[in-house]
Amino acid sequence: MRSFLRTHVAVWLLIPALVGVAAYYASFVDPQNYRGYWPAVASNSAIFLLFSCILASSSSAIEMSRLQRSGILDLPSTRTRLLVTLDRLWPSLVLAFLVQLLAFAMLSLGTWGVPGFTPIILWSSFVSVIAMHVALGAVLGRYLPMAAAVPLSLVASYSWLGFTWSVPFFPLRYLSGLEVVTCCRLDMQLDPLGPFVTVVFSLSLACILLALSVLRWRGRNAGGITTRVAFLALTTVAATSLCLFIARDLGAAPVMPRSQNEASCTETNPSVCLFPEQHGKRDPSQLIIKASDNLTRAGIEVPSTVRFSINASTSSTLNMAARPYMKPEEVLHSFTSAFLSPQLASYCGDADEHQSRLLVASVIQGWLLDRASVDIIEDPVSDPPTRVGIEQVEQLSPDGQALWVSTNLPRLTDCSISVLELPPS
Amino acid sequence: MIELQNCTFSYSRKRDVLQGFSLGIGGGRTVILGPNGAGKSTLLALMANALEPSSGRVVLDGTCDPHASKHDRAQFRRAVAWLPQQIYPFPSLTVREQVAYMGWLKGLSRSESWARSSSALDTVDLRENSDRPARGLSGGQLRRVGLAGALVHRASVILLDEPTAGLDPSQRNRFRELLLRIPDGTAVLVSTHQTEDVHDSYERTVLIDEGVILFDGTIDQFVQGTPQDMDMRDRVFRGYSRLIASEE
Repeated sequence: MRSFLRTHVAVWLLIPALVGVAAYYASFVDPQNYRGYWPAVASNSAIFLLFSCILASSSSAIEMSRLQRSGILDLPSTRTRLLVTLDRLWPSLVLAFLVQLLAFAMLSLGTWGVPGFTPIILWSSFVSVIAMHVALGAVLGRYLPMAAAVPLSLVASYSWLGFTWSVPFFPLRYLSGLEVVTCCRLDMQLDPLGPFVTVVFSLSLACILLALSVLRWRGRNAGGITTRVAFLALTTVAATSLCLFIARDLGAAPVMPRSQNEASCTETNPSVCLFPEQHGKRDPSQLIIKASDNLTRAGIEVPSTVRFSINASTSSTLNMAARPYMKPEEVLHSFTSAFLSPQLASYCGDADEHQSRLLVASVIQGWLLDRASVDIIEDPVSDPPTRVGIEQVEQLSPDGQALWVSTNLPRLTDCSISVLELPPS
Repeated sequence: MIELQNCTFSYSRKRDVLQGFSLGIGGGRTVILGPNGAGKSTLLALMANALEPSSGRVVLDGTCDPHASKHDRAQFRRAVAWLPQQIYPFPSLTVREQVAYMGWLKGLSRSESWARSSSALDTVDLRENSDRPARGLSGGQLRRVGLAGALVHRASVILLDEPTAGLDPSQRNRFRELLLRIPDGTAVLVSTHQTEDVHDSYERTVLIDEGVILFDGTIDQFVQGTPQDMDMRDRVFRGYSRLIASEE
């Protein structure tokens, strides 16, 4: 039997879609953003929904247009209209998902062998989003001539993904499915509520659009057509409202701190807690211990535990930002930055004063980096103004330097102290 | 075999195309003759369950009513094949795939439909075109593809709506020959507005106009009607006189 798959346009559109994926991968993808952490690999592959969804919607628009033009939907068949439609549309869904899988496979190069898994909810959201775009193309193909349906399906798919992603009203992003693309660093995990909202919205819309694309407008069964259309419209409004409501507090990206229960800690001083992905190649614990010793010798008190977390550091725990495969300079930068607050210095109402605080913050971080890097890397600070500031601090005695740093660190975020100044040169 | 019982149908609220219309079709070949707008296509679409009467019912073998249950509808649709006037093949399919697809639409499995499609194409003399794209076929060939689609699922009722419209005389003759190849026991109902299409291979001739049956009998009775009948038929068909002449 000849393959019916050959007759599906999605098979042919697969080729340009894959070329697009490869070109995008070669031009714009930065492996540093995701390599070595499976949830990040999968979530970063969401950007390729642009290709898979366009394949899905344009191919289903063509298939549905063909079905409509050939009058098959109006023939008295023993198969339901829905089944006849799905019979033509399923390759669009499957092949678009294949594009997504191939994109994921390309992104996963360099992560093989690393422990971990990709969240199932993320894959569910990809399938749902693609299904929605298949249904979108089907509606356009059903009601418009092919010459209009195909370009419109391309524009509609691209606009929906790109537009919702770029608007500052965050809940809207969760409807399209691209919001996960900025998730996740090693110290973050995916908030499943984000993709869950995407799944609910996309599947609801997929069902509604599919129902609209197989709707029979004539005949005895067409009685109550107004009721059906009204029901579909109300369901669309209800699904959209519900999803926006669920996503109202999710912020710009569906991330949350990764559970520290997954980390295992060394019995050293300080104790360094590593996630499973950080063991083996480029394990940063020895580097951190060495840097910690350097700072202690310089007179800086290092918390007893070093973790990789997006939470703020406390007196007992230093929370570093993390990526797998960090280079020594990245580890040191992350380690010393963890002594400061994420925003470096608070804004206390005066722009000039804030500039002064930022300079002091930069000098403190540079000084910490300078001291932590002894016997590890050479000349870690290259920023000239910071280098000048550090030299001013270094005019103090070694104990005086440590005291100046320790005293000014908490002041960076304390607005009750009006001006922070470098030691006089 | 298939029967319209007191059926009424209209496309708009202004005028009923058929009103209280009843007609039963048994085995053998029947031709429905009528001018354009007589209601022939509507009649066939109703019989095929492509349209639904606003009142009355269509039954197969006395009991199978497509509106009674899903099972009955499936049974009805599997038994009845309908070729509308305009056939638009699915663009990406070859001739054989198109025939097999029609079988699948009528409930056959893909493999069974594919297996049967070859012999159906043999019957309509399109075997050599099996692998050609269906959309490249001529109008006459497309109708033969449609007929093969009816044969592939072994329909017990075949409804052909104006199958020879737009065909040249040789293609029309060829289609006439094909009708004779349809297995015995199959009810074949052909609609036409061309008196030239009425020939002695039809066991029954029904003449309708404006949704009313004007004549129902054999071709001989039709040709040898009373002078009053002939006047009436003349009014309905300008070409009727030519038919008489050709028969003589």
